Amino acid sequence: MDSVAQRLSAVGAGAALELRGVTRLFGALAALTDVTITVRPGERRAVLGSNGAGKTTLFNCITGDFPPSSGTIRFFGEDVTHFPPYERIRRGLRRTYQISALFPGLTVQDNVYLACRGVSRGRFSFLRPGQNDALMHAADNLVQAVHLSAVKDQRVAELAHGQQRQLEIALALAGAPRFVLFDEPAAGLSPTERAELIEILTSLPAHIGYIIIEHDMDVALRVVESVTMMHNGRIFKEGLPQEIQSDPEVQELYLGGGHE
Amino acid sequence: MVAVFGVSGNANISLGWPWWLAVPMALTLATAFGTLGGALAVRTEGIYTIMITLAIGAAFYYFTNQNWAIFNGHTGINTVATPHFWGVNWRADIPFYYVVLAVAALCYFAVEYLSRAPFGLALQGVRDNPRRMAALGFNVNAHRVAAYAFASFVAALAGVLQVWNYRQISPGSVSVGACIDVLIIAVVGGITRPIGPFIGALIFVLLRTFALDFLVRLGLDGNRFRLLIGLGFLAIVFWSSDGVIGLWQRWRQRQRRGADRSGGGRRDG
Repeated sequence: MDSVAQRLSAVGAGAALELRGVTRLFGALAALTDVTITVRPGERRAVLGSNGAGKTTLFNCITGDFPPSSGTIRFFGEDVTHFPPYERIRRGLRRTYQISALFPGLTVQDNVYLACRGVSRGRFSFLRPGQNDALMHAADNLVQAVHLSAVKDQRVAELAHGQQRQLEIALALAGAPRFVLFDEPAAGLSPTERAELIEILTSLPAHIGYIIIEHDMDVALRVVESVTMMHNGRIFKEGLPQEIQSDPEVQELYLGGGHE
Repeated sequence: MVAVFGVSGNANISLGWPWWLAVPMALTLATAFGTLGGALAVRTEGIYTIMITLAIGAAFYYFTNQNWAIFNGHTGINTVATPHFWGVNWRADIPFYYVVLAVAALCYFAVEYLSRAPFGLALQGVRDNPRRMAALGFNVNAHRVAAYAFASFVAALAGVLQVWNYRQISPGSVSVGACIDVLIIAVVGGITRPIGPFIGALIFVLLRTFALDFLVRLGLDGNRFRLLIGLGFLAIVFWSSDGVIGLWQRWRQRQRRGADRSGGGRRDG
């Protein structure tokens, strides 16, 4: 409980995530140019933009999957720009992938258990978890939270697409997340599954903030309080969902123009 | 991996240490050497990892071939003493058989047990998706190096047994050929299950032993058993990337599905 109190006091202290002038080059191509974003702890934000706008690259820079070419990234005040991904994750950052990045050879339970183990001690333990293993219980709860209890002993390779997307989310919620990056979590989901996703997102504890990349405006605008619009690797607009939705420039660029 | 054979061989007799001192020393050295090789290899990926491990193996082979001070050059070290205690000559055929069986069984169960422990699960995670493992808080390279260390230790045990078996060790035991034999054994058996390499080794040894007669009967040179191994290897790579184990599993699955269709309930796990 102590750590929660500390976390909440840290929450008051400043931004959860602070990007300053982040640029990412792939050869001569600038996937991100001078991106500056500040997200408060507990804030829930959508990042919108057409394909190639740099949304996923932004996520990759934040998690360290590939580091920015220039600029700085702070996570709860700490400069993590040059940290390897696992160090950022251990500090409470999480992410999901646009194309499910799971462990197909392992069961659902083992996938989630690994996620729980990754952010706790004993990653190299040679001892099998016992009946009363705390992390096994944590994994059980997570599996239940994403409605996968019925298939928890099945190998992930055998799961349906929607179930894999749900597992993708479970992996990102293991341990004590402070901030989560959701990369198109609703991609390819049925309407029922979308409703479940919205329920999962809205029922997250209030101190967990997130950024969600989502093309489906119905989903995106129902689960966020602010919106960042990206275009050609730059921040194009920031604001409240209603402002962004009614902004003529945004409509021209994204919502209108025949784009569904 | 096979490079460690040589190390265990060397630590043996030259200094005149008793076996109970030489063996732990050999295991330690071999594990350290394997870990070091691993630490180099994890900086690369895919084909380059294979190349660098084979390159280290080849370098070690030529090193042992030319180094007379420690490895006695290409003649190697002969008439290595084998352990005698409790009134048993452990190298005598029957005791030695049980020693090897016990070590092999122990290693098998250790690996099997480990595969469900956090360390083993993490390695399977690294195999399936290293990038996601990093995004779950795992230091992927540290896990890879640890895997090399563990594998080196198991290989070192095998190396000690091999030296006792032949009572000698020479560069031939750590040649690239020997490295490749180990690779082939693992792939043919199946690299997805701990039992795979045992099956691979069984097939390899059976072929090496009996292919001679078979080939001679066909009017070919008996030493061509590698031709059969090679064909088998090609067949496995083409049709079952997870080895003989994979063939067996798919056959079982088909059986089960057949049983389901004829009225049986669905079973999982």
